[in-house]
Amino acid sequence: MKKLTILKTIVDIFWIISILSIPLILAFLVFTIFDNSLVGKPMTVNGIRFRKFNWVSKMLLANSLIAYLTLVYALHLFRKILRYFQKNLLFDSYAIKTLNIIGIIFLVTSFFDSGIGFLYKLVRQKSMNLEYGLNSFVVLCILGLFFMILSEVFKIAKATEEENELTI
Amino acid sequence: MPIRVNLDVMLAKRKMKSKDLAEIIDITTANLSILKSGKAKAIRFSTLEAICNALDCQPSDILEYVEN
Repeated sequence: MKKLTILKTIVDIFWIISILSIPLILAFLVFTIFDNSLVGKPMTVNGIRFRKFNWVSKMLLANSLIAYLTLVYALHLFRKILRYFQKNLLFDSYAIKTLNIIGIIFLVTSFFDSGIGFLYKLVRQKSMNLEYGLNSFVVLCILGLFFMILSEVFKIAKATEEENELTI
Repeated sequence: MPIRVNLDVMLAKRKMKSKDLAEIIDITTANLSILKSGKAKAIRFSTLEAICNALDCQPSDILEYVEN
């Protein structure tokens, strides 16, 4: 299980970096929402250029930061699952449930993070960007669905394992 | 489950203990207990053959279909 150890190490490094950045993000979130010193200045939020920083851009910024925090939570859950896998608890009901939760988080985050930005561009700026290839929305959607399917596969595997154990 | 395992009845008829049967057919007493209690999901032909051989009976003496 050398690959598992490598994956766990990479995820742990990402997790530590993410955890260190959370206080800064929260401070920035509070600052941008409650402080009005940036109002009226041009700003780019999540790939969308605002000529004037207003409440809509504040909402979009808050939305993308909350999406980031939920992704960090998903990373935390993924670390927990990897710990279960290291203990050889592959078909544990907790792991199955958590894989499904991670999938839902990825799907919801992708729609909230990219979907709202897309709608804003479409409604307010009357422009529509179509990106071909793998953008963050597509990757997150695919990952979310993949985790949900993986959860279903593990559920079936767990049932098969139980059946195998109860075959005399 | 609609399949009833009458292993305990056959054991009583043959005046044999579960532990002895488990030893003869080479399975653990825990697995035999699972079989007796009806918790088992499946039974291998080899196990059924060994039980029938040890108890000198037919599979129908051990397994019975009961309508729900």
